[in-house]
Amino acid sequence: MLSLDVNGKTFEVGDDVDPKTPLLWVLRDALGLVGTKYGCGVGQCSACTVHLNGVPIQSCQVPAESAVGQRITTIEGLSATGAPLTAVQQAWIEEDVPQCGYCQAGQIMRATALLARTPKPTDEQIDTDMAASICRCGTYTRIRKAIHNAAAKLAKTGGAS
Amino acid sequence: MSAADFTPNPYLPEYLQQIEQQRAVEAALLSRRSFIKVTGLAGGGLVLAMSIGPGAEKAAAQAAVSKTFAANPYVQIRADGKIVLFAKNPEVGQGVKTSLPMIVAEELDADWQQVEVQQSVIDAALYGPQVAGGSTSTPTNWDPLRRAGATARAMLVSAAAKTWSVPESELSTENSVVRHAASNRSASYGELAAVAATLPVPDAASVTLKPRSSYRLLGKRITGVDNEKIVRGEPLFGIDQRVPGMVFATFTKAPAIGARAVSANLAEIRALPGVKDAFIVTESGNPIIFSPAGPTVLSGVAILANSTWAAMQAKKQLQVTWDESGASRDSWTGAVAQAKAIAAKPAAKVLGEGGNVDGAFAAGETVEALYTYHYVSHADLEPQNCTAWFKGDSIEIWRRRKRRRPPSMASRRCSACRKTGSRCTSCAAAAVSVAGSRTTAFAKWPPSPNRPAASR
Repeated sequence: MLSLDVNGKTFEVGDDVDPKTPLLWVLRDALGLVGTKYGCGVGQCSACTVHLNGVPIQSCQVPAESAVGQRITTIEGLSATGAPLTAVQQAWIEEDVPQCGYCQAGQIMRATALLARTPKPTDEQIDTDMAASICRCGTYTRIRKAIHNAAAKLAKTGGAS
Repeated sequence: MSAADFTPNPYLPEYLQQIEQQRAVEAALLSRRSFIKVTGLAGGGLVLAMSIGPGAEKAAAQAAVSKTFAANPYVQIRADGKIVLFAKNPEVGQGVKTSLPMIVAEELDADWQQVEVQQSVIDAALYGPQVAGGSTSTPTNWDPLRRAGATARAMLVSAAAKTWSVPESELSTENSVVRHAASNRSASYGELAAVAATLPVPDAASVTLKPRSSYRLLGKRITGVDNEKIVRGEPLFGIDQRVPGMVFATFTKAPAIGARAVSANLAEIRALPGVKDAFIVTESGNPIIFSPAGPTVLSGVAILANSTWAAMQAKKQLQVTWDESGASRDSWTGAVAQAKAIAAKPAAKVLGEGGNVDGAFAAGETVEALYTYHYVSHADLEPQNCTAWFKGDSIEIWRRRKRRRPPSMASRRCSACRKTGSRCTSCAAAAVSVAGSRTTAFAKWPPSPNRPAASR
């Protein structure tokens, strides 16, 4: 039995789930948190990005058992259903970033972590940091714009989203 | 039927309850429309009451929808002012789930803030072709959607004219409101919906369309209608569907088109952790001859497990013996060799001539390069997937795909069923085709009895 702390709640994962199952599949199939996306499954696309103690990780590469006792945040955990969106989420809507939208949960999780670390990133810092997240539609220029937008929003509120 | 009349199955997750509810409401409205076609009226509760539910339910549904106005399959205006616009084509990132409803809203003179966009059901009789391809969604739907919006607008104007006993020519519309400037009267579309629903539907070809100069919505930047769902990580994609008691499967296809799975280490696979079953899928139809509507099921091996991961792990252990005697011999190397051979030959036919090509090459600097690109599918990030919900007498399927056309039922039978004219479970499953990379829409077999007959 695995006990996982996801979005501030404790989830017990049954014995029918192999503890070595990648966190991605435990989130999607066992816990029904399907916001985290499966793209490549081999750590190449970052569609599956979640936060482990605030740090972006590819959940397809992390066995669920190694996430026990750590703080897991998924896209669903950024702002509760119906609650106000975070600055990054708002900026994503304002800049109309998504096209097909499939990679965007991963992009938003990575951008959120970037801004927590680097509140006012340069274009170069954004490009370097976000390079791990692949977008099949090529929304990169708007992603960059949205990150600047979110940075400005966060600066106004003193970092609180 | 309105949302309030729908009793959701409490065992379903909330989002599935919403989908079920949406489907129930849509089915009721669409069935009403099929009746409307016959009578020429936009219709009210009375019409609906003829096609759904026993006794009390019927009456409740009648009361609930009598104030909803649906001039055509693209527009629904509710008494509370909510305007539901149906997006007919698959949204695959090109933005049509936003842009096609915008076309309707423009001619309707709707307030976009009151608009809720829903993915339409798949129904050729109502919507014609529902595909994404060749950048055709907007050009092919431009005129029909403008007319759909203009038709609804015309009926709302008529409703106001009738209510106030004034000529239609003195009325104007803007932001979901009809105005009579001379008497300083105005009414919202929601207020006019009940009356509009009783009026005859005008001929779409005869309605007046707005000149471009008076567009209020088209040409403006409108944020994508699904953006909030996307940034919140809400279930939206084919792969996000979850149904009660769902298992996860992988399908191992043959290494060549037309090869058949003869045997596999199925007993070994079934004993692996998390695996519930493994079996060989028998092919039907002729996979070598591509036919979009064709009755093709590829031979292969299915592994069913309690998670995607368990199914994928089991697949790594799978050993299949294939019979490739009837398989296609096509290969990439063969295709390249063929292309080179064709390119080396002189042109068989001149298709067009113009300008002085030789002169232009002689006059300027030339750059030469040869580009080749290997054979790939769209290579979208969402892996190919499909969710099927077998409910004993019906099966519902969610798929992520560009083509939403339900295949012809007649061509969808297996060889045994073609002889008998019946339809076994696997034929029924193959008969359903549903879509959209982003989808909340799905088809159902057998179709609900109150769906229009023409859709079958």
